[in-house]
Amino acid sequence: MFNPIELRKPSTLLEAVSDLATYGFDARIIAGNTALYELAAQGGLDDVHILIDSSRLGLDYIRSGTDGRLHVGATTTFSQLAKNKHCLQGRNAALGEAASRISPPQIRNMGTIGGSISIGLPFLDMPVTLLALDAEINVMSKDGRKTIKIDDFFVDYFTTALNPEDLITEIVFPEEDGSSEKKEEERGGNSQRSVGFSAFIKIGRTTVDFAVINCAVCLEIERHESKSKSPLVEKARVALGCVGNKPIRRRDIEALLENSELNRATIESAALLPVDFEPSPSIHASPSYKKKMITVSVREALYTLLDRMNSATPIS
Amino acid sequence: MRIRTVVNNETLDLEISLSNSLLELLRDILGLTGTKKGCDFGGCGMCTVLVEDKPVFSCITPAWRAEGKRITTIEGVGIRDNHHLHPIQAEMLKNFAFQCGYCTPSMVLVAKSLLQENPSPTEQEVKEALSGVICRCTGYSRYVKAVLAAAETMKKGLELDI
Repeated sequence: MFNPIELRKPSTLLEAVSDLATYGFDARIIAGNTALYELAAQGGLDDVHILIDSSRLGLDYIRSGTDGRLHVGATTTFSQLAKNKHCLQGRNAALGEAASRISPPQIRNMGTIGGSISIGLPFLDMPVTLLALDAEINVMSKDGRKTIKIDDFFVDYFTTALNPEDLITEIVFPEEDGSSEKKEEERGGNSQRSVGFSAFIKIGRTTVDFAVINCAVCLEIERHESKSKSPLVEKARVALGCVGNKPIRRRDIEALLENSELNRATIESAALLPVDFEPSPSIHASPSYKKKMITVSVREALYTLLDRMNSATPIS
Repeated sequence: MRIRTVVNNETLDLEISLSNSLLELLRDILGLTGTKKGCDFGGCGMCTVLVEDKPVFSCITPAWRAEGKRITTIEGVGIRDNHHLHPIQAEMLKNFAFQCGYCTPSMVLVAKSLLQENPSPTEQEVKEALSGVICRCTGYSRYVKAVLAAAETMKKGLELDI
């Protein structure tokens, strides 16, 4: 039975990581608490004796950094994400969309971005979104700070690259205009910089249920002034949740999209690429149904992105 | 452990245990049984209360999280002494929004939070706000109608909030 004996209330990151170093796997960070108490109610967590409250660490922020990247503190709630303009537009649009699709509002007011990735559940909406957006996870422990790339973060069911003494401090999203190396290369008056767009699609049994399939896509396209030709995809990240023990990328679809013009023909052939793996079944969806929904969600995400690209103001 | 919290505008010093939920604090320690227990792990919405005016599930909120926070339960809505109802409660009665009433405290609170933030919600916004509270009697359409009607009443300045 879940029976914690001590509550730690660190007010600085140093105190928090020192508590984690002392208690290790005996302790759990409490952020939004939407997942932990559910696990406890179902008879889990009887090995947890120390609770560490993260609410005094000042990690609930969303800010555009001086590096041009978006920095989101680990205890930022889904409600905050769903309302913040930085998370609703351009390359990060999928972040706000995914947050607003997390239901119901009571959960959005409680759950946090850091908590929803640290628990390592493959059907939640944040993991798949962060995977598509190529986020980086900034982590602190008593030994110092490190950055974990999202591609290396999810390991297995309930398992991430985090060690028991690690604390997620923030999630960082790449800058809107493609990678910084690319900008460096082209700082010679060349206006052909890339620009990012993203979309999130959730297919569920009801609007307040967990996803049956969730899909996030981020495309970086060549920036040009004319709207007459189809956008040229430079970089694609297509991520799916609810299909296995961790969210995955569809690298076959990404390869088809990259260096292609995004139009109806490309979208249809990308969405119809055969699903060459067996998605894990769930109580509401068989693998064959999930395969069909993968096609549907990828298609919908790509058409959404095409619409967004066409309605975006071209910037030279 | 001891915490200080504000429940329905009253500052309280309380002795709680670390494993208590906010729901247990309200029902078992304070005797405020208007807040209901349903699934007890954040699925049904029966235990919804407002923390700093925002709806949360009290069954999965640790009681210690109430420290320094302002909690509103159904007992803090309307003026009980002289039978004045909050416009949301009045419209729910008028529109026959509920039968058994088990979900009603939560419905009132999510509606209160919505109208405080957004005095003129669309029907879709009302549905979204109510989506976290399950009703198994009347369905939801009469609740939606009642909240839209309450929004109109409140805009005309007939608010009886305390």
